[in-house]
Amino acid sequence: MMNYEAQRAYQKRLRKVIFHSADVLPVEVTAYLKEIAAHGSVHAIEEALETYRPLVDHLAKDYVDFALEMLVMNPEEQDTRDILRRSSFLRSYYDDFGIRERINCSPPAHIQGPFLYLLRQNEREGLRLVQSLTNKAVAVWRQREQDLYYRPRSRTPLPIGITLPSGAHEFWGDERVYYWFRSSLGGQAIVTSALMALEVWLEEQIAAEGDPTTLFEQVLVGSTCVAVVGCCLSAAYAYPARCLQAALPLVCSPAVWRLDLARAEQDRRPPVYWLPHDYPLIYAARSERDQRPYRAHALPFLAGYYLFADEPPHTSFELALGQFSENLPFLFQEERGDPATVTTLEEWAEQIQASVKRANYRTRQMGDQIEIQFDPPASPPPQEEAANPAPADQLRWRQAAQWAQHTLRDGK
Amino acid sequence: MGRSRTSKKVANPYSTGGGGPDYEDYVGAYYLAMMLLRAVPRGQNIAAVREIQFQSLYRDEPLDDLIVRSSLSQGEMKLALQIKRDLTFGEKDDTFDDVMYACWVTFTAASFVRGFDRFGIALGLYSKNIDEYYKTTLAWARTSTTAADFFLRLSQKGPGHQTQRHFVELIRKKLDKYAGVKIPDDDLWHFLRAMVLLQFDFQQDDSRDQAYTIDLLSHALPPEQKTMASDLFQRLVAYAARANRTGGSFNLETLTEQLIGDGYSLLPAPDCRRDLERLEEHANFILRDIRADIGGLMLNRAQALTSIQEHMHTASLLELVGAPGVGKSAILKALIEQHEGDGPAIVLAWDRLSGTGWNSFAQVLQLSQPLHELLLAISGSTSPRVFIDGVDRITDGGARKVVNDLLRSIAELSFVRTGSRRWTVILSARVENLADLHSWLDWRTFGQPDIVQVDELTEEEFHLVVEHRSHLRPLLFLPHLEPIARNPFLLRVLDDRRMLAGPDGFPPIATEIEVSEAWWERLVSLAGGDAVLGRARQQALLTVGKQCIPSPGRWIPCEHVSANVLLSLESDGILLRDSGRDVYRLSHDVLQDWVFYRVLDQQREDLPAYLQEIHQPLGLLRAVQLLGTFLLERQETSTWARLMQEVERVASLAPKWRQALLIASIRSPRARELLDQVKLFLLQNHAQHLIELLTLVQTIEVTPDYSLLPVIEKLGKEQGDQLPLLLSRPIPNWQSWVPLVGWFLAQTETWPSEVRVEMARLMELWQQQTPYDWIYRKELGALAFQWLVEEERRERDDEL
Repeated sequence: MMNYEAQRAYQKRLRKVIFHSADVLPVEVTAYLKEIAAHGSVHAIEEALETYRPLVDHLAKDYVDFALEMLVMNPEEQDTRDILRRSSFLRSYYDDFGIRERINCSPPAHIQGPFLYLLRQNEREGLRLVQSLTNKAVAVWRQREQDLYYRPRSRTPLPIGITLPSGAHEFWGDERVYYWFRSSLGGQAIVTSALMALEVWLEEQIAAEGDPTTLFEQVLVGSTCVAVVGCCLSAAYAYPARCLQAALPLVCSPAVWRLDLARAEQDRRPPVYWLPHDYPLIYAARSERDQRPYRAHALPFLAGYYLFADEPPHTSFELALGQFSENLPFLFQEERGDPATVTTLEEWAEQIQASVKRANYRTRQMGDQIEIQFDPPASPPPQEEAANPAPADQLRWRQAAQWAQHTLRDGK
Repeated sequence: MGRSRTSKKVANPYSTGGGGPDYEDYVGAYYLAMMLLRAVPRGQNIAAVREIQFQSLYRDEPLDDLIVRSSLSQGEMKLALQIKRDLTFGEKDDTFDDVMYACWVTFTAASFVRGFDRFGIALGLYSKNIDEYYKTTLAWARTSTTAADFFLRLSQKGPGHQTQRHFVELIRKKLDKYAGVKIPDDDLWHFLRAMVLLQFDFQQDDSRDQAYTIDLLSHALPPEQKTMASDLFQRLVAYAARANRTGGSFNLETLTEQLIGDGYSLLPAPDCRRDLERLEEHANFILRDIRADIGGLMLNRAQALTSIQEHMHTASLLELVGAPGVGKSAILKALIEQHEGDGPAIVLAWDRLSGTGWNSFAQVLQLSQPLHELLLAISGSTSPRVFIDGVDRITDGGARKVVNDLLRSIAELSFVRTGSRRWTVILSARVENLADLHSWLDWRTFGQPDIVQVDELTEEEFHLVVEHRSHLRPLLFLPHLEPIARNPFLLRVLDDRRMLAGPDGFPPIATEIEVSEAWWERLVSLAGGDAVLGRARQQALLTVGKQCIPSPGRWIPCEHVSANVLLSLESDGILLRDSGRDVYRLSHDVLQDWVFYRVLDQQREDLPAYLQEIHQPLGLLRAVQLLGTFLLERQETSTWARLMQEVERVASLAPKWRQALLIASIRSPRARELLDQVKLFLLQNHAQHLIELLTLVQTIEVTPDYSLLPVIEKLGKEQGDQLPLLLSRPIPNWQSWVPLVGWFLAQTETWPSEVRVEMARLMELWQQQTPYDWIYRKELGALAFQWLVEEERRERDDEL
């Protein structure tokens, strides 16, 4: 008679054998996925999600269908008259941004979960999964920002309009949402891992001579989450000259400037690695990416490439930059009515317009290319901090995290 | 001489060199460095450089760029080199024609001593043809015993052989032209034996040769001047440049005097020649023990060698693994012979190691210099190498220390500051012993071992043997012999005409056990011949076996065996004799295993007591397994089962003996039949033995997955902790796994539920490690579905 643990291990092995048989029994394995989606235990579901390689290789669409069904919460399913149960569900629904953490992605990294493998093997299905999860998460974020039950000081998010070659598109999110592609602070580890994988995949595609304009369009059109914009910009920092045209719609948006400058400010702080000894491989992979030189870049760096570029991107960029003052980057409806925020944003826009000028850039010939460096004027620094104050709770949390990290590392 | 050409003019030495340091100055500096270090330079065997002459045409040296004169214990040798950045080996190329003519004049000069002196070309640009085919051809010439033997090897089909034949034909045409007559094969063979092709990459920006030479030179400097090694090298380049302009020369004294005068403090380099000669003699003993032919036919194993050479470009630690008798040692021998043109190597073998570490082994070999100095002395070749044959069969703790002392010393020397590696260690081992090997061998300093599987003979090689040995032709039409006929060792046994002594030609054999029986009954016993001598030969082998069995591989005296029996076994290549010590051992480890299992079979009445009496030697595992297979193939299942039970009952016996007997059932081409025979036994006591067999297959019949090593190293695991992780998802040995899984699947309805847990483990590994759409994947997937349904039903029933 097997004990419970042995029984679990045995069943887990059998399921692994089944998932690994997707090449030879595709019909049966697809049916099995549907069966566990309908009636399976949490263990069975998690094992299917984790044994993604053979499933992605042979049943990518079925795998993504299954993953979305299992990961995305549906509030309608919880429609109950019991107000307590309903509010309890809603609380966790909002806390988790409508995504179940059924794939262990903690700590988040590009190598966590099926995302990078899926994107590499089957970009269509990979994008479908990443976009569906991020879209869901940001949709729930919008809901909870406006829900008085969840947030006593509710806010009404405003869309961030970006005109892509295919037309105008709306993205949603604030500084925290934008930062999801860097860290899960305030987000879901699974969503962050998906975004980190997307960022790596974008860089790989561009490195492999993929057309950045087509790539950005492909990634952005199906997305509503502003963190996806962050992934594209990050890839553009890695390959600035090649992404000039592709990133133009993004750098013409003052809201993207506001979000990305906040991201850059956050990135300047040392990264927090929780329990580093428990996850050496994951943190090694994260650290390797965190230390890449282009991680230190921000939009003023990219702006230099437009200022010194040939006519079309140059003029489009200067035109957009000139309109920043008339097109202030409000992220919430409430900000429009707050004179202090309006004044801060006006000053912020003026400072950007004043500092992003050719005179504030130094160029250096490097072989057959020109290296461009941003050398801002010595005048009072732009009031990023004022426009993008790090929320007090986040700051405290970060300080605590750093203290814990040092304590663990030093063994004190 | 039938060639109308103007002889090379003696030029003023000042006009033969260029302005600043040139490629030939760097090559000259390399040889000066080797002289300073008293190391063996490229293109020479064990010799210390005595004098180096530059631009020597005026000294009547047609190959005038560099003359290296060295002292050997037997006399003096000369290496004459022409230095070319690039050279086209073509019939119509004038430069090539000039160089070959100079080689020919050098070779035919009265002062040229065949067998000692060498000539050749130092080249700058790398060429695959030169590196892989031309140099191999020259190695074959050096290691063939006669011209006929060389040309027979050359005539074989194989990848690259056409290129080799073209190369020899090109040389032949040139020599015929210079001689004015068709030169005899023997002269051409001798010419090729004396010729060297050396490559130096000094013209590259990131020259490895420069980095290695500088690193070696640092050992000639006292600690406080070590950082001046690069300056020292540049100084040698300047000396060489000057000598090239002036047609100058250096010996060790003049070179040392000049360097001291230029402010260098030099450490004296010891003269390691005697030690290197002893190591070479030791290597020759080992090489002579290794038989590489089948009925006199030397197989080139070109496919296997090409694959290994590709790995050698990048590997620091290369492991040649394969089944017993597959020809690992013969391939190792071929690699050693190929390397010989480049410089000496250290060659060790499992059965010729003794002592409690390198120092005591060095005493046995009467070496006088410290290991570090010996390694430095042979560090001058392009890629200095250590070869160890049968490293997995080293069971003695002291002998293991010899190997680890050597590896650690090499590791200290092997990597230069540029990060590139210099030394390569090449080992041969049986695949089934790899995990055990890695538990004691200090491989970590070399990084991930590069494992190359040595396969059995290719279709082409097999056909070549059969063509060459016409009496083996029936093998082509006996499909049941397929599993053994591709194994070079077993094929060599079958090649003996006495194996055909019966009226029906080949005996009804299809397994190793059956070959071993035929060998015993026909070849050893001289069937159809002198029956008395035959019986005496069998008795003698059993006596030798009994003497060796406590310490497999040991050389033993055979005073109690009559001389004519020993001579008879020696002449048949069954026994080897070390004439210096008058000791013997079986000529091949497979033969040793065959004799051992017969000795064990004699002790079958009380095998556990016998194993205890001989102190359970590690090297006996395969013999115990063969005994098990022997009993099962002879349908003596009850005896096998009795031995299993007896071995199980004795608590002081290590479990490995029981495991070796148990695994015997799958180590045969007839595994499925044998498994059927033992099925009832396996199913006794809730299928405990079947479960154990399934576990064993996953722990013994596997190879660690070294692709995981970089990940494991990132985890900061010590070597002792790495092996379990490398075995966490091992690579199955398919030869054992396929029949077992096939047998299991053929009767799924008959298995008790107890086996399912262990089988599920095996199924998981199978599905993870086999390529998509491979054999049994579908059946195993279906079985997993069935078992899971049953398991979930049972769970529901339990809940109810």
